[in-house]
Amino acid sequence: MDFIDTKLQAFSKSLEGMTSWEALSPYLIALLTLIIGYLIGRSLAKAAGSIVRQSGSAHGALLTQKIVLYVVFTIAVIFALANLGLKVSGLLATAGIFTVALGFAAQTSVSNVISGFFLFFDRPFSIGDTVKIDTTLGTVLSIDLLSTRIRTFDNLMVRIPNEGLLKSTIINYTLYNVRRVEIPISVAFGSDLQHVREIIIGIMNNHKLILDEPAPAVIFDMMTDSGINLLVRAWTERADYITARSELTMGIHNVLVESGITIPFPQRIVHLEQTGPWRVETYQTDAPAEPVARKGVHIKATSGIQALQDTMGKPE
Amino acid sequence: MHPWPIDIPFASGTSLKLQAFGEDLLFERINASRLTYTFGKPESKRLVAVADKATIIRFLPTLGERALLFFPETKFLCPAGLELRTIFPLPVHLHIGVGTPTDVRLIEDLAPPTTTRALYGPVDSGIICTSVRARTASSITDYLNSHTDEGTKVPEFHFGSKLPNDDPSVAEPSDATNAGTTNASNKIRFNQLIAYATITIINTTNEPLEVSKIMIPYNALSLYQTNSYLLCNEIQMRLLSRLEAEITPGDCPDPKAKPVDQGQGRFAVVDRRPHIFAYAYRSKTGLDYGF
Repeated sequence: MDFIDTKLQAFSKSLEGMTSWEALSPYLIALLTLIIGYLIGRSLAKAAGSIVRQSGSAHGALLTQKIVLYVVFTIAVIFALANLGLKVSGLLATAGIFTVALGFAAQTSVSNVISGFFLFFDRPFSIGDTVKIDTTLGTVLSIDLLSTRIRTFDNLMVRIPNEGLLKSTIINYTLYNVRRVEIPISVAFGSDLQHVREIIIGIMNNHKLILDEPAPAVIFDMMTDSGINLLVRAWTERADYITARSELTMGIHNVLVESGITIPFPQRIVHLEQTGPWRVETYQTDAPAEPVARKGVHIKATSGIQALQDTMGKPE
Repeated sequence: MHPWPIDIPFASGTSLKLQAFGEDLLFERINASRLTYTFGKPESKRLVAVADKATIIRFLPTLGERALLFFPETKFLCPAGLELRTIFPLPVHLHIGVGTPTDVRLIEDLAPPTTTRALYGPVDSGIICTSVRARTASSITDYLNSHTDEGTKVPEFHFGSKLPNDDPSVAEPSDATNAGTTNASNKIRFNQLIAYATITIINTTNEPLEVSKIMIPYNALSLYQTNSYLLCNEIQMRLLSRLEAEITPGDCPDPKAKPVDQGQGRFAVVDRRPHIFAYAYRSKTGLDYGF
């Protein structure tokens, strides 16, 4: 029993020692240091971010905010560890070895961070821009150290790692204020091309969303199998691009139809070199039969080619 | 012509029907702090908050808030050392506000339907301007005499109610189709929505130069009014080379014309600094047109 009493007393004493202010104070101070460090870091980050944002760069503001927060919080962690009696110099020495190990483990993440820095200085786009990255089209929500987030126009969030982004083809739709609308159309051979040009230019000149300068243009591009291809080009403000393109397409179609100008469709004319008359047999049947059945009447051509001749009016 | 700005009393429970740019413009004061405003189709009706003390609707002519890019329908050819003086019409915006004579709040800035936009400068850094395509004339009288069809192009602006302090000598006869809250009708003539700008082109080079466009910076023009029409201050354009010209705003060509009061005794301030612009910049961006 004495043995148990002795052990209990020793445990009680050590418990008193552990819960005494002297024993707990370093931990509490370290915790306090971390909390204060985080709060100061957050405040400083916000202040630095707002200063950078005033220069018009939302991307720079976000990056500055994160860097300031991480730096201040890291300093707070070092102070907290020092307060716990850990030798920071020794920690820093081992950090080198740790970094190498971490580098192997976090190769992709580090690559993304470095790519994030390159993106910051390259600035191919900013937050809020409409971009197309490879096949992803949408609005840039955030550019973080590791990744960039895009909200697509069908309301999906796409996270693209910065490393991949650096290797991708990026199209920025919001960098310039004006865009060129290009509408390819085709008119039939034999159309009065001068008249076609005039009516299309007239449509564009009267459209409120089309800029007078640079002047709209109609370019006769090439003669194809079906007709003559035209390129209708006009400039509009970026925000009006979709509307202008849609209304212009509709307007051009309507004016061509009203003017009696044929818009051709792909077609192929087959010339059959049959010198003799075509023999066509027709007969009544109750059930569908090969090769062709239409309204119970079968037509059979005997010129070496089986064809439906009910509308072509070939001589028998 | 009634002097601008035009203030029309608008008490609670009344309505005012006008016509602007060929569309109906309807104001209905529902109560002291609300009115509805409809321009054109009934679906465009909007509820507008107004101050309780608001007593008037004010109409002001303005030149809009963009620079102007003017394309004369006939290009100017100016021989070396000579100057060419011409006038051209500028469509005027209609600025509509509600409030008291000393405190008017903007409701709408109606742009004339005939204006479009154009880009001045390269496509990657140019600025969007109000585009004006118009015929020119040697004087305002010549212009009015030779453009009798203008009234059919841009509709007249009708006031359905009797204007306060109106000069009866210029009032039109009563028009039943445009009647508003009162039987009396006043018609603001079409030419009140056009301001005539005078431009003098001086060729300082040794070769004849052609001018196909003129860029007039924002704040380089100000509106003046005479008894008959609106005027702008004169613009001097000095052709410096094949590519560049200098625009300098000047005074109003009619010394009797008065500046248009922008409300509360404020008048537009003209920036009289010379402005260099490239009138043949297109040659620098030729590739943009072909490819």
